[in-house]
Amino acid sequence: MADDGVNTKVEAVSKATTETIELRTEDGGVFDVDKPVAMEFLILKSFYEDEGRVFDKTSIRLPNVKQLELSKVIEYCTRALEFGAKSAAAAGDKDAERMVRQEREGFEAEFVDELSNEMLKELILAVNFLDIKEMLDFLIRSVANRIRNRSVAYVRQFFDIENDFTPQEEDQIHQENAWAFEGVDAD
Amino acid sequence: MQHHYHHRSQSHLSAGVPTTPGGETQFASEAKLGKKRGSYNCGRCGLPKKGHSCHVAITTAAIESTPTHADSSVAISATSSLSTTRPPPLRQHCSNLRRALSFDDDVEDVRGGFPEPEAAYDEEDLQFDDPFPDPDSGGFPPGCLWEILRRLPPVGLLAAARVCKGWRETARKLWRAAEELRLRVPARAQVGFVGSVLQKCPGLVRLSLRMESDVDATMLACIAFSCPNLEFMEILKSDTAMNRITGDELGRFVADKRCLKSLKMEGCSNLGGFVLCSSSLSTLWLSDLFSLSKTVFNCPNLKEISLEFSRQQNDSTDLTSMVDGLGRYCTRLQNIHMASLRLSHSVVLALTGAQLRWLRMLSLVLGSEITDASVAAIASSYPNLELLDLSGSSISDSGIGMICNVFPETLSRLLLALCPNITSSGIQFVTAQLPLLELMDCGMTICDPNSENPLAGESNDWELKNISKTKLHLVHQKLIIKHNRLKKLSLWGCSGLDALYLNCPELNDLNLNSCKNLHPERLLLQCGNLESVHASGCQELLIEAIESQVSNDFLAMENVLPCKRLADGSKRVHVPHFLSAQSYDDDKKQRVKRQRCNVLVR
Repeated sequence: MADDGVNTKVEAVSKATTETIELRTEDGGVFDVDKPVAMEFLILKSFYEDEGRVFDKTSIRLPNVKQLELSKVIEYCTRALEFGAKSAAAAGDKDAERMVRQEREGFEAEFVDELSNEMLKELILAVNFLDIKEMLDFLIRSVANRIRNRSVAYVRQFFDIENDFTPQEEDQIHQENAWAFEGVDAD
Repeated sequence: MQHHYHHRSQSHLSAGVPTTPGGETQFASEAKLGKKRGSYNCGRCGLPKKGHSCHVAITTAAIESTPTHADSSVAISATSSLSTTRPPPLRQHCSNLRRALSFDDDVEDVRGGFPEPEAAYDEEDLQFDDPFPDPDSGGFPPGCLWEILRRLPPVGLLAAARVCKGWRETARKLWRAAEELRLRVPARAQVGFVGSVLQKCPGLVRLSLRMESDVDATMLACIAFSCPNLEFMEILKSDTAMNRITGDELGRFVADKRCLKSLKMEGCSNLGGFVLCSSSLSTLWLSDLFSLSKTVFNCPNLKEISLEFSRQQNDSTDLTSMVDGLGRYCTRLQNIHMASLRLSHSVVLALTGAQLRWLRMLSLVLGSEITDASVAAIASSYPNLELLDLSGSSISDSGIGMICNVFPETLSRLLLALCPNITSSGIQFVTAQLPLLELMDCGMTICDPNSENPLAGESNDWELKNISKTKLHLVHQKLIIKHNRLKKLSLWGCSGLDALYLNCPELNDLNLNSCKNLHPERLLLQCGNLESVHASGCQELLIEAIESQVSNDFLAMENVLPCKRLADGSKRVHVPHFLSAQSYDDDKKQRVKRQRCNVLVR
């Protein structure tokens, strides 16, 4: 019985019979996104709710988002909604809850593994623009994990940041914190 | 009767009994208190410490800003034996890194070990309307950078400050916003290390240091200087580090810190004596105390105190006058925990002589000179106790009788481990008379301390030909417990226990470690909510019996009733007297949605 409930909810998310909205990316991509997923993009949600518009099949242009990013975002949000539904259906049953949690963690690990550093950054910019809180938090955590134990040089390269310290300033900071950095690998 | 539990205990003073889950906040401090028990149980995994190798000395309560962590039960997570010298799993690919600082990554069980040492930040209110990247922030919207840096451990944040000026600025703001810091100070840390970190976070409210290098008054001075708003302070100590702080130094620190609410310190063997004056202090935990001369607790708002003395035999602390003074000045005390071999009846009398109107939790452990008379005194002075722990004392079944007489309306936790004069009828009486009981610890009670292994070894031989009659009352003991609220029951080390019938629908955790003589066919567990059973040191057949009783596809009536094959091949079925048709149906319904129960043998 619990399973049926989950299935119907999942179907509601993915079937084409639900309302969709068309999103256009800046590089010419066109996506038909289901309403529940689209409403995760708070930038869209406020657009519709505040303005009191009817949710019809209009097309919205997203100037700061590219195809590749949007497709990834849609993928994540769709799965996140599914997990949310499964979690709700499993509420109270600790084993089932644990399974859903593990499944989600597995998905998230795979999802982030496939992202290059560049892609990760682009996604953060896109998700920040679209204002998707949950996914932003997930991406940020992933970035923090990636730079956690890395050398300063790696971090600079990751974020494509220029070192704007003078050599003297750098030296000084290095002296201050010398004890923290002995043996850091140059990666 | 000789008390042999001394030689079984190890030098750690670590928490004993796990606390019940789902604690109300008034129990939160009790939960922390409840972990500071004598050494018979390892605080990490709830197993008796004998032959055990968890490395962490004292479990800490999570000094966390998120309230959800506060009451999670700790001992059940037998998996995490956190050793801080082991490289954290995430970084194994960098294991050749030699870091001056390294931090545990364990996020799951914050209470189970030293919590992950990251700074938890009070979020600044940053308004960012502009979603576009700011070049100074390295290609990220400024708000994102804050969030990323916020999730780094302290050393990561220090590294981040070197990336570029924008990052240094953000890192600086994060430090200044930091309210809570947990730091591990490694053995070879330079002197200025803690000081330089602390100076970055003047807004610090909670500080927890795990010292692997020696600590002395310079550390206190550092803290006093850098953290004017400090309210919660904790100094934990690894085995190899020494705590050289003296009583005078501690007294000065406490007197100067006008907003200090909670002070917890391990390794207090050099205090020697102290005068503590503070009107803000409400929680005080000191462990490894030894030979205190004068002690003055001038802390009128003190609510919780935990004083653990070291096990050395020549401790010269005058406990009676200490408790006397405590009772006189700290009249608001609610939770008291004392662990000392020198606890005696006169100490109890000093306690009961004080007017501690709010006392709800009393724990006086390891005092073999605490007797039934002490129980009488406690019961008459403090009839509203919610937790009573007299583990290691000499009380007998008549002391239990007094407890059951006075405390049935309030007592929910009773701990009587290592009390050799208690019998199974005493234990059964407790469960019958205390309806609010949620936790009971009777470890090492029903056993013969003189016998190392008279019965073990032969898995099929239940004959007791060679046991003398005088010792017969210590073996073949039976426990039948039916209780509606009991959540945790510990019978570890009860080697005299032969048969056990439990009908406790709310029971979550059952500890049968080293119940060597519990007969597999005389075990009946009717506890639908059982989540873990600890069965280390038990016979193989018993473990199998437990597993079959708690498994999910356990439905047949025959399996439920213990039976015995007689010589003529017939089966005699033992039907426990509390088994009724009605309880059976309930049990069956419960079985349908029973969680998986883990039988823990390690």
